[in-house]
Amino acid sequence: MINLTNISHSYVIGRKQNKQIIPVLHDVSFSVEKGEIVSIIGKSGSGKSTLLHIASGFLTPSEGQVLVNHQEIVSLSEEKRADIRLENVGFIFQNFQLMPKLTAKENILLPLKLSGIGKNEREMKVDEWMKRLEIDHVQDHYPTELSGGQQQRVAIARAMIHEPPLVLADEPTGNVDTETEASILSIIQSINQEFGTTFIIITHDNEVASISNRTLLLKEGRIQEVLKHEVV
Amino acid sequence: MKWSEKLEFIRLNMKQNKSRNFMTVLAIVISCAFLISLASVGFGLQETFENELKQGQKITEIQVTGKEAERFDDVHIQAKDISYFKSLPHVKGVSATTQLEQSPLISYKNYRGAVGAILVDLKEEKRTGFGLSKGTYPKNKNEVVVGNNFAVNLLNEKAKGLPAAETDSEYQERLKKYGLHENLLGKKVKMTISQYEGKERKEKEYTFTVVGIGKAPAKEWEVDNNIYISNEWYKDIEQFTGTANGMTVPSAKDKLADEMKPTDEMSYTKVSVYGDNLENLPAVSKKLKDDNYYIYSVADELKNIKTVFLLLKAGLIFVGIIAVAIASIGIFNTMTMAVTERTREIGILKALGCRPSTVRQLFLIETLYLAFIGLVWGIVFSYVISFLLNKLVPFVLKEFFDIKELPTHFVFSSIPLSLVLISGGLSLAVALISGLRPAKKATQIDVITALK
Repeated sequence: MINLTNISHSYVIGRKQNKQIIPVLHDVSFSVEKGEIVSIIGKSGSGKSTLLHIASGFLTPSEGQVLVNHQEIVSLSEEKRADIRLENVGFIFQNFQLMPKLTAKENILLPLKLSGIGKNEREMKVDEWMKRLEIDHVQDHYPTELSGGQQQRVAIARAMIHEPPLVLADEPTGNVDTETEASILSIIQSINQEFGTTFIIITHDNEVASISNRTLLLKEGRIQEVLKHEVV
Repeated sequence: MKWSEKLEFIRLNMKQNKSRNFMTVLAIVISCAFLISLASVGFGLQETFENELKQGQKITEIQVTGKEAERFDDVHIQAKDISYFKSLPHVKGVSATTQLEQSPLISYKNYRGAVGAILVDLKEEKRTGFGLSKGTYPKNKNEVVVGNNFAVNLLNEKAKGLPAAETDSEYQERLKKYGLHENLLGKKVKMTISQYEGKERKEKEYTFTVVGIGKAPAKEWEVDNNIYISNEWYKDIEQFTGTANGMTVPSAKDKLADEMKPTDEMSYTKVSVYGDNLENLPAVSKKLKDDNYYIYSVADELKNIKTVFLLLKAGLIFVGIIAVAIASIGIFNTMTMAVTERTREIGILKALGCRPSTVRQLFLIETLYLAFIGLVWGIVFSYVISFLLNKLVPFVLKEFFDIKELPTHFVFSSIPLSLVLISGGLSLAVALISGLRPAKKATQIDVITALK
């Protein structure tokens, strides 16, 4: 589903004489198959988010290749990358990233509107996902009127409404309580089973890692696979 | 993303800062109204000048006043010239008239009057637009057409011996009282011409039937009291007077001067060539000029006026555009702030798969949307201002600047569709340019930074 090959990335900070090059990722390679849930764990500053940003096409790596659904995205234009994201990738963010001016329903509808899907189909799908995630009673609420758990469900519905084959989740349970976390993880699992959606979850939460088929550890910019019992 | 959704999204965003958007739109309304109103003065004054020039004249007319020649006699337009004009392409007709160079006496019952007599081919005149208010065109040389004011200028015998009228109102009063107020259609009138033969003054009388009354002249102050007789009478009149164009010897003492002697040719006092339409007129004008004819045409005059006014209008529009440019700074600020305020939203949209070009479009459409609302209201206000200017300016000119009479078709401000389209196009273009930079800035927003 997604294939990262020899990814290296460095950040340049400072200017002119004070310019410093900070290497973040060193020759990272891994691939995730269709239907897998893969969690990437690591300490803060280990390069987890950078890796996710490269995988999503938000960031161009200093070196390496990224294949999303068999399409190489590093060399593509911003326009093409946007098209590939819209078609293939759903996003779940730690701080939900909902549009404050839009209601829950309008937020969920965004990917379908961007795809130019007709109103009838949109309405049918949004109803289906709101019911599935039990948020249909708050569909006309604005994000500020929702609890953290409800906001993350709205974000999951938005990520899934166009049924992408890949979902990239950045600390999806980072801002919710333990009870909500369990329900969100259960939702991810059920979506994975029902739709065969591939999930790559950035986390440092062991609970999240426990629902994954595989867990990858990022340490000092290098990746290594860890066994389930090692995660704990 | 469909257009309806883009517009819905833009409307939603615009609702967020109503007062700022209102002020931006207000600035555009004022600048557009200023631009259109200012330029409308140029259009209005041009309309006034053109109306004045066109009044009573036919726009496709080219007056031929003579031709370049070595001999003085050859300067005049003659029958062969008329035939040549008729043979030219794009010539609809040629009007060639000869004013009799004496005022013949017309008598009808006990009414008399000295009028102008014009020798003319009315069949050709009909083709060139000589209109009748009543009756028909003559079918033979004994039938005539008279001018619209012909009858009233024939005075009753009772008016004989009255001193000359000193004022125009006195003269009008006299016409009302003593003038002939009878429809002359179908009536016979007598025309008497005279000439000195030695010491003796001889006269010749012609009897004509009036079959048509000419149209009233276009200008209110113009009168047409002429009698239009067939130019078939030319030779006959010339034979009687022994002079060209029926000239009279001033007094019994005077002898016939050489230049008064008749020529074999009929000489025309007014010759006009009519083009088939305005587009072909320059070609006809050029041909006549190339053939060394002296010409004057309203269309040429209009062309010169149009050039002068084009420069004036361009100048006024340029000044107006400065106002629009100032308003566009407001648009630039509004849109730049909008981009800054919506950085996170733009980041979310881009993260979800919105193309940078779509983001650019959203901001450009928003810019144009603001400009369009401003433009529509600006146009509405311009029409109101134009209406008020046309009401107030004549009043102000008369009351405060001691101008007693303005041109009949005085228009101070006029807003033709072309002005609306030019101003609209320029305003939208300036707005679009001012929105380009903020829109580009929006597309360059980094998703990672925006979502932090």
